[in-house]
Amino acid sequence: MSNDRTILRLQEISLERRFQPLSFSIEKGSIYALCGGNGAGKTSLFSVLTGMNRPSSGRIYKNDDETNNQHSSYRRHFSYMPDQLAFPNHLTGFETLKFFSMLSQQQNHNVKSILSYVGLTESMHQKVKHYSKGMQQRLNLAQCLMVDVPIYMMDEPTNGLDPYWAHRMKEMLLEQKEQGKSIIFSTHSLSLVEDIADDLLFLQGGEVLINQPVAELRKSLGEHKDLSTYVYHLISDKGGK
Amino acid sequence: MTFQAIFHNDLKQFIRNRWLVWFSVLFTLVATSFLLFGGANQETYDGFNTNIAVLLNVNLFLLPLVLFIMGSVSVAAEKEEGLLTLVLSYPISYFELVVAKILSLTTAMFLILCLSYGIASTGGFIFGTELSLHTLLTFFFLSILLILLLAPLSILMGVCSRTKFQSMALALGGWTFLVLLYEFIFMGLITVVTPQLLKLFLTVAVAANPIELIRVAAIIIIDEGVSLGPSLYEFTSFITGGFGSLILIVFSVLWIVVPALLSYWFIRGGKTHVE
Repeated sequence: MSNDRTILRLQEISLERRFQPLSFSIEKGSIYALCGGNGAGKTSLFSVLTGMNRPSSGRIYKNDDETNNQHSSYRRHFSYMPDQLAFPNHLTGFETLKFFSMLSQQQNHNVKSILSYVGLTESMHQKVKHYSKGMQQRLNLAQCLMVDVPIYMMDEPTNGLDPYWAHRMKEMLLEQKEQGKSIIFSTHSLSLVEDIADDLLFLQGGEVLINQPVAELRKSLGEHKDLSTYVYHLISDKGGK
Repeated sequence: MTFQAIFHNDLKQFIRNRWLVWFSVLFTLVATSFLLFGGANQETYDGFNTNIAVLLNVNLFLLPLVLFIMGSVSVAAEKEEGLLTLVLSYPISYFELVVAKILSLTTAMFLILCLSYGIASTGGFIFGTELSLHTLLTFFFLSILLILLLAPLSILMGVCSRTKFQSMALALGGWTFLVLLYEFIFMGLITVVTPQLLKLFLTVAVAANPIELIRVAAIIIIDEGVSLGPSLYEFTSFITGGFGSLILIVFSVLWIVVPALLSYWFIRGGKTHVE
């Protein structure tokens, strides 16, 4: 069910051979975590959320109005940080963000300040091909956060980051939440989910295993010491791995 | 703004591509050698002589090969590396994206042609060549036309491929069919076509392959179809007439528009295999 804080609602959305029908809502100023094993359907769900794929069934509502995820108007409401990405290697970090700034059609970007936010000020005039994996991931984060949109969609944002930047990333996501932005991110780290997420959607083999607020999950942990152990037992009980 | 951003980015990528650099060197060398040495032992006949035929074939062999590989692999690489997925998640017009990709490829190839023909013709005119300026300019114009006709097709090949290898296979397969096999199929079929249907068959066969369109256009422009011979007189008269020319122009436009629209349709429908 939606309320006045709901900005995106997926109702019985499915993608053939990828994931079974699922429903969830993203509320303003909340963090939604998407978890699951490899091949569980997380990236496929992102492909629907970002409009790359039309869902096989179900409906998508934006602020309670049904929407087509393939319209450019839909794409004005989110910014995306993909999992695997190779930036154009002939561009510098600064030029890369300028390129995406032009694509976003928002003219008020301060590219230098966002590069400083992700710690790339000193290397902004270096070619991206000389960046380490972690630096490329931070540039990826910068292109996502640079755009002023209500929802940020991030596919495994902490991938390739060192412990300092993995922690900094958590802080950044919480900062965005405080500013009223909504975030949906995928991760394999259930401790990250416990730390920052408000809701968890756990997919297993294309089916929904868990879809509830993290606060409620904490209450139902029972004898399990943390979310990770709880999910491990849940999957084992279902005969999965 | 979107168009500009994609156009500039892609054009830079193409120009810095080693494939294209090697191609421009090769093309310049081949064109210069023909201009400098190809005139030896040729009669002063200003029509469609052996030199022109060889230069035409070099154009029709090399240009499609490089165009298909460059266009299709560039799009497939962006897919494989995740860049296309990210670009498509921005609120851009997919049609602008397709047009920008086609035009950036066309512009890169145009610049390479200018450079190659420029160097070749300078060398040719300094050291003396049998080819006239008119013929050289005709070749230049036809090469640009060939690029215009094939660039949308090469982008479509990339849009339809999942990986770089697949796009390379599609590019080479498309090139083999259009440049090599098509002629054999054409020559095989022409032996069984009745004389009454010959004109229609030739028109369809030429219009259905952009490379044949350019080949016929070259023969017609350079020597008004004389070298096609008396047996094809009816076809030559038709194709050089108003209606025949109109048909060729319409098909040329279709070779540009249809692949561009198909690319747009595939991307819009989420059928581009981007993950």
